[in-house]
Amino acid sequence: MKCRKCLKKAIIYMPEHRLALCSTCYSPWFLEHTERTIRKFKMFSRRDRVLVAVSGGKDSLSLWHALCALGYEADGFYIDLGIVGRDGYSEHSKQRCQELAERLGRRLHIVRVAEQVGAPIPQIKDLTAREACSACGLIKRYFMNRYALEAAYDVIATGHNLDDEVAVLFSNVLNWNRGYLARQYPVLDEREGLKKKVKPFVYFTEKQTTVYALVNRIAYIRDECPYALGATTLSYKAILAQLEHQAPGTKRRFLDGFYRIRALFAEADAMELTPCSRCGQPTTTDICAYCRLVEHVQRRRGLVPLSEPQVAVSEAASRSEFEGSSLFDGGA
Amino acid sequence: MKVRYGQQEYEFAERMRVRALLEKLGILPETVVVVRNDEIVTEDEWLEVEDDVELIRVVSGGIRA
Repeated sequence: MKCRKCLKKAIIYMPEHRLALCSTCYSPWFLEHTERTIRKFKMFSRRDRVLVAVSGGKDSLSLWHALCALGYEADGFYIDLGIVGRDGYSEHSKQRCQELAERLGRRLHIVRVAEQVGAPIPQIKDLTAREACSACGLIKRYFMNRYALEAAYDVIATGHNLDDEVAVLFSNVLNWNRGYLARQYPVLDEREGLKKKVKPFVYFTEKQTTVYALVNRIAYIRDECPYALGATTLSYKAILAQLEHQAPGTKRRFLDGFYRIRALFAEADAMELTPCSRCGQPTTTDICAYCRLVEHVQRRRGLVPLSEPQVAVSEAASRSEFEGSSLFDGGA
Repeated sequence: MKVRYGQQEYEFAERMRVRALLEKLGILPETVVVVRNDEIVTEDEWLEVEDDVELIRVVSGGIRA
């Protein structure tokens, strides 16, 4: 199979686009489509400071790399979950983020769950009635928003891809979670203490982000989080992969079709947000779910309340690999 | 041909196309990137008996709906 642009040997064929590309032509195509999605949904401009939530995985690290390649002001934000697993999952994933921070010459903000909450994720799971993924999601959303506000970033970007979004949509439709459906969109605008959140990779498949990471030699953690194994999302992805294999483009049509009718669910998102009486972060109750979680964990562990959260910032390299080499000029 | 897929390893004595290998293993092409001797290849490529092949899983999960 030959690259459609230059006729060299292709490395990827994307049936949904009927497009084959080689290792040289793939990254420019990928970056052009990232830029197109950013502009389509008015995610941010080159005047904005972007905080990229990085996990050490292929999607978030590729996103950070792509945004820097496109000339955006993008720093990384890593949450150390304290998961050891079989091979030191959190430590390895943090190393992958630090390596890319150094290569890009950008800041990496690091926050440690054990220091902030009083216990790492595995202990939080044991100390509370919450599933690990549930506690982890709550803590990640809280820290991302809080630090984006405190460090004056304009927008939070996450590496969610087409497969993630379609699997979540599938789950939300199966369970008719109208509140979640109302908030499922590539851009969630800033409101009442919540920073703007965007998903620039929403139209890329997992295979496309993986190939971008491999072509650009981005070292990422390949191991799955030990708590994700057997997660329902994975079984939904398997079903959707089968559908996509039989009819390429199915996932994209499902997602875009939903975006066109999502206004039907807007009412379900009409909850009023007020500042948490303890931490000041937006919540629908008097005390936010994060503060209640921290209180519960600390009471179970017999700890005194913790002081204000602190964020460590990694040393940034003196020069980015993209310095002076932006592929696109001008604001989005 | 040696084939690695996560923690599993396979060995095949005959040449075959990538597409045939994936079918033998029951793997959908959308869920892996196929790397032959450190080079990413498409499904129509031939894999020779002396090749080292790695199937890199692309699916990640555990995201709360």
